[in-house]
This record gives sequence, C-alpha cells and structure tokens, in this order.
Amino acid sequence: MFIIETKNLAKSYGSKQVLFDVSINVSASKVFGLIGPNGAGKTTFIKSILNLTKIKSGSVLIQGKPATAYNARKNVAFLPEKFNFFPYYSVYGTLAFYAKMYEVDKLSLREKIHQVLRKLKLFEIQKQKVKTLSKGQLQRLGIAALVISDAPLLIVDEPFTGLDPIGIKDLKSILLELKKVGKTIFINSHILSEVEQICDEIAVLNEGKVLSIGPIDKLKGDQTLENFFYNSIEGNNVT
Amino acid sequence: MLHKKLGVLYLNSFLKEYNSKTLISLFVLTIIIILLIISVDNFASKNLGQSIEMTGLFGKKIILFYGIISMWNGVLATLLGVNCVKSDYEFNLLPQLLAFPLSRSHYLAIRILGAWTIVELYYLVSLILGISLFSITDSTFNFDIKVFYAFAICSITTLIIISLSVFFSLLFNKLISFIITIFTSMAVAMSNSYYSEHPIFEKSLSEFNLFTALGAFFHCLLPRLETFNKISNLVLANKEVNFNLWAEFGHLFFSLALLYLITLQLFKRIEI
Repeated sequence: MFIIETKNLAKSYGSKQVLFDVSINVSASKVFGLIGPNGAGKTTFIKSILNLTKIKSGSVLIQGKPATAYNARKNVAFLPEKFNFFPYYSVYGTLAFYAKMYEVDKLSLREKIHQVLRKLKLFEIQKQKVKTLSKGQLQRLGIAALVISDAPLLIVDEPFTGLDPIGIKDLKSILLELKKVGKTIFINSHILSEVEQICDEIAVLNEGKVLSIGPIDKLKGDQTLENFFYNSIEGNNVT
Repeated sequence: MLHKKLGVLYLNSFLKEYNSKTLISLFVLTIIIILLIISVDNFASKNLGQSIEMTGLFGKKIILFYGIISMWNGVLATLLGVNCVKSDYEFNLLPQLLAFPLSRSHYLAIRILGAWTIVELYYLVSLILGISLFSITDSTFNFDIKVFYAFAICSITTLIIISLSVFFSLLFNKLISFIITIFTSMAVAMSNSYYSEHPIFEKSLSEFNLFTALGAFFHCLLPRLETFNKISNLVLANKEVNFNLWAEFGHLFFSLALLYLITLQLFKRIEI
C-alpha cells in the first residue's frame, strides 16, 4: 500500500489551472522528493494532499484514507516553507504545544522536548519568545516540531530555505536519521544537491504537470540531478 | 485521541489572548469603575445623607456595576471574536493548525468556544471583584445571587456576538469586521425589541417597508440578542419573565446552528 496516493489530481485557482492530472504514489519508508522550478505547483500539491485547499478533480489518499477525512492526517507531521508560531510563545512552549498535539506521553514530555532542543541547538534559547528568533532559528524550531511529532509520515515544504550552511547540514543529517528509522518523508525542494543525497525517488513537476517520476538513480542515470532536472524542464529527457 | 487535541487547542485559545492589551486595559477600567461607584456613593452619603443604595435611583451598587460591565462585555466579545480566527490567518498559522488531524469544524468551534470562555471569565472575575470591593467598603456582604443568574443568561448574548464577529472576520479585515458586528448587533437588538412588541404574524404585507423587512429578516433568522438581554434584566430586577422560553431557546438553538453552518461553509472555502 502507498502512504500517499494521488490520481489525476487537478487544481485551479479561479480560471488558472495550476495542477494537471498529477498522479504520484509514495511508498512507506521512502524519501520522496518533488522537485520543480518556482511556480511549478509544488506547494499547491502539498496543500492538496493535506486538504488545505479544495481540489478540482482527482483523488488523494493518505494512508489509505481520503485526504478530506481529518483522521487521514493522523500520524502525519507537516513543516511549512516558512514555519511560524504565536510571537509570545517561548521556544519551549511552542514545542510543548506540538508535543501535546502529537500526543507525546505526558511523563516523558519534558525530557523529550529537552532532547529535541539539544539536537536542534535550541536548548540555550528555550525561554526566548518566538518573536525574537532569527529566520534560521525559527526554521530550526519548525524542524524541532517535526522531530518531536515522531509521526511515521513527514511532509516538508522547502525545508532548506532560510537555513545557513550549518543549518542545511544539520537538517540533512536529521532527515537521513529519520529515514534510517523508517520514516516516510515527502520533500518539496528546488535545492537539488540536498535532494540528490536524501531522496530514494523523485518526481519533476513543471507548470503543474509531472514530467518524470521514479527512483532517482534510474531516472538520472549517469547525469547529475542538476543536469537531469535542467534537461527535463527543457524537454530533452525522455522518461 | 481527538478530545486531547481539542483540549490543547482550547487552551491555546486562552494563551493567544494572555498578552492581550485589550483584556488588561478593560480590567484596569473595571477597577476604575468600581472605585468611581464607591466614591460617588461616599459623596452621596456625606453630602446628601444617603448612599446610592438608599436613593432608589440606581438600586444596589452591584446592579449598577453589572449594567456598566455588561455594556462593554459586548465590545470585548466583538474584539475577541474578530481576532480568534483572524489572528491565526494573519500569523499564517492556519496551514500548521489545520494540518493536524482536526476538521475545520472542530477548529472553528474550539476557537469560538475559547473566545467565549475568556469573555465570560473576564465578566465573572469583574463581578466577583466588584462584589468583594463593595462588601469591604460597606462592611456588609453585598451579594445578590440574581446577579449570577442574570450573568448566566447574558452569556448567551456573548456567544451570539462572538459567532457574528467570527462570521464577519472571514469576509472583512479586523476593523471593518468590528464595525459591522457592532452595527449588526445593534440592528438585531432593535429588530428584536420592535418585533417582540409588534409580532410579525400580526402584520399585513403592505405594512412592510425596506427597514421593517430587513428587521424581520434579522429577527427571524439571527439569534435574538435583545430577547436574552431583556430576560437577563428581568431576572436581575426580580420581575416576571414574560417570554415563551421554550420558543426563544428553540429559536436560539436553530439560528445559532444556522449561523455556525454558514460560517463553516465560508471557512471551508477559504484558500489556506
């Protein structure tokens, strides 16, 4: 069974169609990367599978349940492109909110939050308010919220955006760690070098259409992902 | 466990307003009003030889105080109602919150309930504070249980105002929503007053003009704000409640449910 299953998914904003018959299946315990240029429809695709936007036609199943059913999002953690939270919450308070929403055991809550704060190098600033955090710290907090969820399916939208090189390296190692423990990860990104190192499978999306989909090694062959991507967009690849 | 998640979100509704300057300012204003009533009472006792309580003009001090805080209770309900969903939208938090296994209906109901609880807590704390301070200054226990009965009935009007302001906040910005909610509440209250004395079914079609038709629409389809205000005042004044309570509560249930469903449909259409 696929963890994420979309069939002929179409989405329009008014008269402008942004997704055309997108069919993507994501297997359990795999890291799947959706790559595409800006405006390709990657974020809209994520919004569609999380039922944050109404689709025009097609079907979306999450863990075998229609995405429109709220319990389809059980065991799903989501990190948006720009993580944000109420400005007057502390770093610790924000994580506590997420931990409670993900039903982390009350007895180990504090311990788990501290563990995640240390991992994301946020322990020293745990009492700081969200409004005082830098862009990079905020993004780290978002990743911390993702980690604390312990959800089997993680959906991350442009996770490397706003991170400095150290942050990117840390996030990459966290994602690889999560992959190792069997999490299914769906990543939207246009930072190809990182996608190449993490993902098992990819789909190239351009102007709302899937150009190619499959295991990353099989798709790109001897090319770098960057070249494969460029050729796909330019229409030089046949897959 | 859905109820645990709803509980966390409900608490979050409280914390959202924890730092609210509106709440703090209103609380300071409440204390000023209490002190003002005490000062006027002292002045009346010394110069007129009788306290407010004895003049018969205002009844008991706590009733006067109740009347004053009830007036801005509506303003507070509008402010919090406008803010409760809108602030999540403005902070771009809706994608994060709605990505949890919650339906939009759960989210909306919890935010409305959260805002309502805050207003009611503010109201209750103000009443207890008022009763306590009046009792201290009078050296007698200045308490009337009717105030709490009236408070319980008045809480219905708070829920109506919050529901209305959430509806408008999905359509307009905060300021416009605030203004429209205040005007709509006033229009609904006026319609309720008018049609409680001139029942719609007693009127012929030719008697309706644009305003009376609009009033009839408000009176029939929206929850009746003024009716519950009046019931609350009658209880407070220890007078007979001359309303058909079954009919009024039945109407409240259906009109509030209708308002909620329309708001939910609107909320479901919003692109997040």
